[in-house]
Amino acid sequence: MLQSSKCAAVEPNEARPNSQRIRGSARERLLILLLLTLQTAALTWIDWQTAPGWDEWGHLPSGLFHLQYGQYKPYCVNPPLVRTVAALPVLAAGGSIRWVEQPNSPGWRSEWVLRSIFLHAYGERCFEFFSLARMALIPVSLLGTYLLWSIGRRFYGRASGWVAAILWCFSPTALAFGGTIAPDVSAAVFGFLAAYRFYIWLRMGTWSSAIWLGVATAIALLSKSTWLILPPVFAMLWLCDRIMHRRPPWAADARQWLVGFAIAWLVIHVAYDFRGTLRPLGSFSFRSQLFTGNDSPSGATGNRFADAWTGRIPMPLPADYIQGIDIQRTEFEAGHQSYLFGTWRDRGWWYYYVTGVFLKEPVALWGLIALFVVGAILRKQRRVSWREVVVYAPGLAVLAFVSSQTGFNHHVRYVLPFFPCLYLIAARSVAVIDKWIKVAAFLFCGWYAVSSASILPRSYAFFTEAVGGANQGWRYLSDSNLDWGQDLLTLRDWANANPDKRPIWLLYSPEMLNFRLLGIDATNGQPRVVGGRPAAAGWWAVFATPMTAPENKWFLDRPATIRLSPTLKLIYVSPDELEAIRNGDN
Amino acid sequence: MSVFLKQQSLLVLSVCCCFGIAAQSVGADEPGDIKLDEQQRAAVTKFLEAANKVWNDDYGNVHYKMVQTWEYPNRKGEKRRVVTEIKYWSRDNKYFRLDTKTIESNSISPVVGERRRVVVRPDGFVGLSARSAGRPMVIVEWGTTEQGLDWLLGDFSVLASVRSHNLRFAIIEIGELVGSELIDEVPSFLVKKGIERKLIGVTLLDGGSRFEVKWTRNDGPVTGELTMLCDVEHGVVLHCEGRYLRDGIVSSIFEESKEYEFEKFRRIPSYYRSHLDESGSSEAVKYWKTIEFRPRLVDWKPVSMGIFSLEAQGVRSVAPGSVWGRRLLTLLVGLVLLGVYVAVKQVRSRGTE
Repeated sequence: MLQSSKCAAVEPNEARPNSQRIRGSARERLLILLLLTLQTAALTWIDWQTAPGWDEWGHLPSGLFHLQYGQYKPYCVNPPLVRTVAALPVLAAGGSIRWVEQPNSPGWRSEWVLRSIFLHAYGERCFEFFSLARMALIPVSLLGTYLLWSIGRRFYGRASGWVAAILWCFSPTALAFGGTIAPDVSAAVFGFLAAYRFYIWLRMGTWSSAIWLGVATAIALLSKSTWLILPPVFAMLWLCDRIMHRRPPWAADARQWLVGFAIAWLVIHVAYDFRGTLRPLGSFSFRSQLFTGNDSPSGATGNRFADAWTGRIPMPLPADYIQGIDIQRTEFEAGHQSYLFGTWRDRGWWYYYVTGVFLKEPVALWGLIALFVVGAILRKQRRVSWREVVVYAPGLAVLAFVSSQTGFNHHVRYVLPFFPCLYLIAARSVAVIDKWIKVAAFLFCGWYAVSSASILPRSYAFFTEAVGGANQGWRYLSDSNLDWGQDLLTLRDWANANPDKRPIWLLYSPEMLNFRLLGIDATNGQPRVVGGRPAAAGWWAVFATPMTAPENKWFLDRPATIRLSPTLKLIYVSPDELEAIRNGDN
Repeated sequence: MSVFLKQQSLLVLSVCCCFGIAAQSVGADEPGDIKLDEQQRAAVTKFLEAANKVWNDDYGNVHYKMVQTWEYPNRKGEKRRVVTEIKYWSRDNKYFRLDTKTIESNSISPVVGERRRVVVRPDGFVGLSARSAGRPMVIVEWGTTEQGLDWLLGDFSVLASVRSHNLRFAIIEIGELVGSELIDEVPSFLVKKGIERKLIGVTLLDGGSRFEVKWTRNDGPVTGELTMLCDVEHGVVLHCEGRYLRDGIVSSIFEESKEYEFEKFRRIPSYYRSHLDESGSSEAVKYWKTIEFRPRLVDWKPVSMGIFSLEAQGVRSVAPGSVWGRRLLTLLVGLVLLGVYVAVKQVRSRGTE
């Protein structure tokens, strides 16, 4: 059977990616090592110099909770793998989280309680723990670079491998979120790995490739639930592949599918300690309209499958995974205020992510894409092969799927799984014989790297040169695309160096953190904003994301007294000025 | 925030709005149309100062037990009655704790035995709840002091008892009407912008020991006419009533009255009753409710700081045992499966040789 699989996997003679791995020379191995070292240095800098982003405050305590108590309800909107790995060094360094009984109430997000408990327990030491946790995830970003290097070389030649690796290594978005414990970069890397393993399985059709496909798919599914689209996408690609290529008999493929599925199932449930296994669909208590069947987002719990035959079907995913999907769905159904090009509205835009990718990438990338297009028009590019598409398809599917969810748009990072595809396409630009196109491509590549490195360690604030760079970012996007509170350390250092400059009023994320516990002598300023203007004298530390809120327009219009970073400005309001503001003179 | 507590807060907020508590932001309005004479101004100012003192001092260190009876109709119009025991502690006006327990209920929610607790301190707050008598209290919120104060002051049982809501309302609303700003910090749930107010009159009673103040509020399509009877010396509100009109039609009428035994309970009302009737409302569901409070115990002796411990909350729920045994077992099974796989592979490769 094995032999027949191997024989059948031979493709017809068509233009296709190189079927052989290109062995790297000693010089190339040294160069890739150098690139990975550079990436490690950049990520380490980010890890220790920027404060935790808003979501990270929930991820780390939840990861500790998983490790200590084997319970996976906290932060169940994301699967547990990434934060659990991140929590390992923190646990080793003496960090822990106290036990908290989880209320049996669907939709309740206990991670925010854990955040406060963690903050209360460790105070200023939280920053150190977050940096340690972030360090644990650096290898995932490095794996991304290696994968792009390896796949680029295999598909389009040595030069393409280098271009793809450099783009991922210096990608501002990949650096920004590779330097956090949010699961997005891990999801991008593991999803790309799964897509590549699927490509290998299609080509080889061996049992070992099926097993590795199962493992890689499980890891992708454990990094982010967005990858639930992987199994159906793979199934469709497989059907198409059967039509386009000669493949082993149906039964042979089906047996390998079954084994791959079983392996994936086992790996996923191992990560959940085999808790909530095979729970019938009808036994869940849901909140989303999709699963309750409610006509409006009333908040009432229910289960539309409870009395149907489908309710007896055991779920192939752990119970907390399913519950997390329901919570995520509820949030999209409820909708939230979204911001794009200076406009707030109560739902998103279908073109939000495409626009976001354009805004968050250096102009040089579009130069590379343009070179690829020119090469294609001049017929200097090789024809796109079907099996090349197989590697791109999952990333493109994520872009399409996430763009279709317009309940709210806050984070371009949601489409990070698309980025490896984008970089591979850009890397294709050098897969031509034309010397000048190659030279231009490497110049663009250098520009890209310098452009991104120039803003380190604040990669989160990067905006394309086409719109004026980081200082202009607030005009276009908000939330994690602009500022996620990472400048809290910058503010702490400034406050410690300037004890005479008090009081400090923070416009951060309202009611989120007790800043004094973190060693920052500052108070949440939002309650002191009355009628959109400051109602207290002192130093107003205004973070970029709250600055974009309509109720804080005064702070947006007001020039900074001191600018501490592209996304943090200080405005001094003197007592006299406050009086003038109260009298409406200012 | 738990759904239950959130709903409670929203309910309280809506009640506050109906009762006209929602006040304009500090210093953002103009005095009313009428001018107060010297005697009237002196009485109002004295009331405001006393009321503010009550707010800041008298309620800063207290422990009380109170029984709240809440009557209202359900959707079918059937009368529902819920009796809740309330325990409240405060110290130095910085540490607060509120415990509530449903002791009688003929409603689906809350059920008898349902409990809630909120502890607020300068370093944060914690909120707990238990859905029924047998269940342990579970932490449902742990946040900043500001959030905690919003929770605490947003709780009707606090507002209507020790943190007397029409007292707070009076300080803010009357203060703004007469152009006197005594309060710097207004809880966010009390802030509502864009309300126009006009002072209609202030009538001194009983030789100036009491006064009655009347004014109107205009909040878009809703206008209100309100009257409040205030005790100048003690700085408390004795009676408050008003009616709201939507498009000229009466949409709700409310009335609140309090009785005080100043010797026994100082400024904490010995009896409080509030009645709201929205039967004139154009809404499909007609609504009314009556709430009464009766104190059982009031004590001003400083309470132990242990009462306000955050760390001690919710620890009675039992943590699961170690999870590592289970994980080691899983690892062992994994290794066995791997061993089987390798063995099969070796046997096969020998077979092909």
